[in-house]
Amino acid sequence: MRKNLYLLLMFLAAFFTACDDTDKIVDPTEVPPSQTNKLMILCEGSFNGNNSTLAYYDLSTKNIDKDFFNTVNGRGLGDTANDILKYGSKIYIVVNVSGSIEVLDAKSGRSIKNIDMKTSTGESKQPRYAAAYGGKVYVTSYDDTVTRIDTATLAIDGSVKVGRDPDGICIKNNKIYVANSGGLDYATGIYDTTVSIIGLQNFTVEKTIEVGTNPYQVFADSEGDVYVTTRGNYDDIAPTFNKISPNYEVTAINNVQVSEFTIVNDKAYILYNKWGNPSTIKVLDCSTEKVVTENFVTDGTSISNGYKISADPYSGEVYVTTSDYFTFGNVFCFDKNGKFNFQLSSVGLNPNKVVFLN
Amino acid sequence: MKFYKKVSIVGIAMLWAGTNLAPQNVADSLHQLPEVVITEKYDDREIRSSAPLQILTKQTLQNLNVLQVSDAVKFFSGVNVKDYGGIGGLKTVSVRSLGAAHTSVSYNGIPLSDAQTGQIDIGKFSLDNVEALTLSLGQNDQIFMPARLFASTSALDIRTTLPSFENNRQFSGKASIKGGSFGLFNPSFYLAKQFSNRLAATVNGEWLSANGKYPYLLRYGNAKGDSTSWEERKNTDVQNLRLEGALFGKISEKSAADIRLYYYRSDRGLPGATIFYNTDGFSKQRLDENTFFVQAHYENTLSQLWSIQANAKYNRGYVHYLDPTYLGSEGKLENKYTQKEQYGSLAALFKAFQHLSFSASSDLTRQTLDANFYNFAYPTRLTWQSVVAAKYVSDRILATSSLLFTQTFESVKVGDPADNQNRWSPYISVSVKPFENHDLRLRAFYKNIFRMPTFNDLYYTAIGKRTLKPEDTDQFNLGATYSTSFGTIVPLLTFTADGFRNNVKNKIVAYPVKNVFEWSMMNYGKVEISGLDLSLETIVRFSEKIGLLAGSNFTYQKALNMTDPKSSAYKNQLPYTPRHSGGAHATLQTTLLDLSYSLLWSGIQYAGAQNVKQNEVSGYTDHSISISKEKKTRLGNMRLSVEALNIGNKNYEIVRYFPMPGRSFRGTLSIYF
Repeated sequence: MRKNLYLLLMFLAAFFTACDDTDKIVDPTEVPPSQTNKLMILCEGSFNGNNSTLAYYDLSTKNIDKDFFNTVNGRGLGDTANDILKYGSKIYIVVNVSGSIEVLDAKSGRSIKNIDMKTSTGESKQPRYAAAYGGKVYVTSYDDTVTRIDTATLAIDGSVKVGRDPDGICIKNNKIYVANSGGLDYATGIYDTTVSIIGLQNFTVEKTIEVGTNPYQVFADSEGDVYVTTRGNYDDIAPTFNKISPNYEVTAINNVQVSEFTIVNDKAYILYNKWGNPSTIKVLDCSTEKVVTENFVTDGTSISNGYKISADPYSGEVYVTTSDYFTFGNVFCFDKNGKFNFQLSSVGLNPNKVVFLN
Repeated sequence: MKFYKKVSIVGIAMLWAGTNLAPQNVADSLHQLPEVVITEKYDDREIRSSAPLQILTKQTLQNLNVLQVSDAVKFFSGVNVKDYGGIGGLKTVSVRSLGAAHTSVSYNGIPLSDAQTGQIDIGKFSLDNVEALTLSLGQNDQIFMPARLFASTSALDIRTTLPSFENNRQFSGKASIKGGSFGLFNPSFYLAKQFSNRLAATVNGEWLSANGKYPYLLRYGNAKGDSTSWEERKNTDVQNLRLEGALFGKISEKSAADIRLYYYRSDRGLPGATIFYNTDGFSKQRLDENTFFVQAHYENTLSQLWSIQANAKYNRGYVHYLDPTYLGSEGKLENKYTQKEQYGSLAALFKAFQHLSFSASSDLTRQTLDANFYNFAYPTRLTWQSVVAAKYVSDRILATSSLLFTQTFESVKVGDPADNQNRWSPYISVSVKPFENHDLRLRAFYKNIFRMPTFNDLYYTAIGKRTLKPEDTDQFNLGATYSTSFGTIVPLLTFTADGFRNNVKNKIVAYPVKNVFEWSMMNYGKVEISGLDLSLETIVRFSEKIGLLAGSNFTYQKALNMTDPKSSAYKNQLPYTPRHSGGAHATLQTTLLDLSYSLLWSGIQYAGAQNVKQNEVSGYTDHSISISKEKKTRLGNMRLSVEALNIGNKNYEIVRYFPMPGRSFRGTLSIYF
C-alpha cells in the first residue's frame, strides 16, 4: 500500500513537472550541450571580397583548417557571411551579400543545401542573423523581413514583414523578438527604434515596442527576459542597454557599455571595445540583474580590437575574436575563471562567431 | 557594418592629369609638318628629358590595339591602371604607386578637374582624335606653362589633332566606324576648315555604345579542383556621346589663340563585383554623367626675350549615380553631384641668356561641389598657385628647377570648412651628356609636392573629416638614357633606365575611429616606394619595303606600407600594386599591310593589406594582334584594321572579382580626306 502511494506521488510529481508554463518547455529539437572537442569560427571577410571563410579547429589535435568550408566543399562561402548557427545536427551560415544560407552537416562540414535568399526581382534579401526553435530556423533580412525555413525540407515556408533593417533575433516566451535597426538610412540619421514581436504559431507580428535608436542585438535568459542593445546615431544619441520583461516592459540597464554581447546559461557576457583602448569583458547575472564581474579577464591579458564574443554553454569558456578590419584577426579563449587558455592567430578576416561542436 | 563602407567606395574615380606638354605655339600648326619629322622630335624629347618622359604618338597608338586612353597608358612604364573591366568600367591611373589622386590628367595643356574624388576616370577618353599621349614623371622640362602643371607628382597629357590641310586645300577630315564584340558600335567624324591663313576651325563628334555582355569563368576558390561556372557579365552596357569644337586663330605674326569646347555624355551600367551565388542580382547600379568645358589659350612672343601666355577654362560636371535596389526606406540610393570650376592663368617667359631662361606663372582656380546629400556642406575652394622656374639648356646639359607656392581658401555653407593650406614645393632636375660622341645621358630629379584632400575626403557623409591635412610626397629619380643607330638597318635604338624612390606621408585612408560602425578619413598612412623602370624602343628597316617598330617596358616596384610597425600589414606590398609588370609591342610594316602585336603582363598582386595567399590575385598576360591596311582611294586615304584582343581568352582580373573580357574582335574603317 505504501509502495503504491509512493508510486502515485511520483507519478503525480512527474505529471506536474511535465506541465510547466510554455515558457519553460525546452525546444524539442535542441540537443543539450556536451563537451566541446571542435570549434567552427566564421569569418566575414571584406565587403565585395567574396572571402568569407569558415575555420575548423580541433581542440585535441590543435590542428586548424582556416578555409574548412572550401576544403570540404570545393568552393567559397561567398560574400559577407554574417552569422552561424548550430541547430540539431546541422550548421546554418547566413551569407549577407551573396544572399544565401549554407546548410552544413555539423560533423563533416559538407554542404547539404545552399538556400537562395533573394527578393522577387533577384537581388539578395541581405540576410543578417538566424535563430532556431521547434524545427524551424528564422532569419532576419534587410529587406525588412523574417524568413522561416523548415529544417526537415530545408525550404522556405514563410515570411513576415517587420520593421526596417532587422538585425538581432531571439526566440523566447513562444515569441520571436526582432531588433529593427533601420541602419540603411544612416545618411539621414533616421534609424528605426523598435523591436517586433512575432507569435511562433501564427507567424505574424503581434506587438511592436519602442526600445531606442538603432536596435542591434537581442538575447533571452531562462526567465523570459529579453535583453536588447541599441547603437544610437553615432552622434548625439548614445547607445543603450535594456531589458524587456515578458510583459513587454522596457527597463534601461545603466552604466553598462556594450559593443557586443551574448547570453549563455543565464549570464550575459558583455564585450566593450573602444578603438585604441584595450577591450573589456563584463559579466551580468541575468537572474539578479547585476554585474557580477567588472573585468572578466583575471590574469591581465590585454585584448585589443575585440570584435565579437561567444561562450561555451558546457564549459563556460569565453571566446573573444579581434579585428582591425584590414588584417586577419585572432581568437582568444579564456576559461570560466577568466584566465587565458589559448589563442588562435590570423584565423581570417573579421572573425565573427564561434560554434561549439562535439 | 559593410553597407557603410560600400557607400563610401561609391565615390567615382576621375583622374586628375596634368599635361606634360605645354600648349604648343599654335602658329606652327597651320603649316604642314611631315609625320616623320614629328616622330623624331618626340623621340628626341624623350631621350633628352631630365625627368622620365614617355610619349605615345598617334601612329604607335594605332598599332597598340587599344580603344580608350586607359588601355593605351598601360603601355607606359611606371603606370598602374586600376581597371574594373569592360568598356564602361572605371579606370584610374596611379604612377609609381603614389596613388591616382597624385597624377594630373590634362587635355591639350589644361588640367581636367575633379575636386570631388581627385581622380579622373580615363576610361572616358577615346583615342579617336588623339595626336599624342604624354606621361611626365616629376615634371616637364617645359617651364613656360601654367602653374598648375607644376603641381602634381606626374602628369598625363592628352593632346588632340591640330587641323592640317594638304596642298592648300580648305577642308580636311576623317570619318570612321568601329564595330566589334559585345555589341560595340563606334562611329565618329572629324572636320577641319581653314577660313583663311589666320583662322581655322575643327569639329569632332563620336558615339560609342556597347552591351558589354561578355562571358567569364567564375572561380569559386583558388585550389585546383574548386568549382567554376560560366557566367555572363550583366548591367555593363555603355552609351557615350562626345562633341568637340575648336577655333584656332593667328592674331598677328607673333601671337595666336585657340578656344575649345568639349561636351561629353555617358550612360552606363556598373556591373559590380562578381559575388558568389549572386552574380545576376548583385549590381543594378547605373551611372550617368555629363561634362562640359570651354577652354581658351593665348600666346604672344612679345620680343626675342619675352613671351607671355594666358589660359582660361570653365568646367561643369554632373554625375548621377543610382542604385535602384538599395534596401533603405526610399527603396533606392540616388546621388547627384554637380561640380563647377573656373580657372585662369597667366605665364611669362624670359629668355635671359642663350642658355638660360626664366618663367613665372600664376593660376587661380575656383571649384564648387553641390550634392544631394542630407546636410551637405556645399564647399567652395579657391586655389592660388604661383611658380617661378629656371631652365638651363646646352648641348650637354639640361637642368630645370622650380619653386611652387600654393595657397587654398576653403569655405562651406554648412558646418566648418576645412583649413586653408599653404605649401612651398621645390623641384630640381638635371640631365647630363658626359660623352660628346655618344648619345648617353644621365639624369636625376627631386620633387616635393602634395595633394589636397578631396571634397569626398573632407565632406562625405559621416566618413568625411574636415581637419584632414594634405598628403605629402617626395620623389627621387636617378636614371640614364641611351640612343644609338646602326646604319640604315637600325635607324633608332633607345634605352632608358630609371631607379626611383618615393615617400608618401600623411596618406589619407579610411579607418575605424571608435568601432567598426564608425569610420573616418584620416591622415594615417605612410608608404615607401622604390623601383626600377626600363624601356626600349627600336626601328628596324629590313628593306625599303619592310620595317619593324618595336618597344617594350618593364617596371619593378616595391611599395611598402610603413604605417604601423605593430600591424601585420607592416612592410607589406600595398594592395593592387604588382611587383613586376610590363608591356611590349611590335609592328611589322610592309607595303601590303601592317601586322601588329601587343602584350601586357603583370605579376601577382594582393587584394588586401596583407600579402598572404588568401589575398593573392594571379598575374596575367594579355596578347593582342591586328592587321591593318591603308589604301589611297578617290574619297581619301582609307584605312582598314581588324584586331583580335586578349587572344589567350583569359578572364584575368586587375581588381579582384572584376573580370576582364576574354577573346574579342574589333574592326575599324576610317577615311581621311
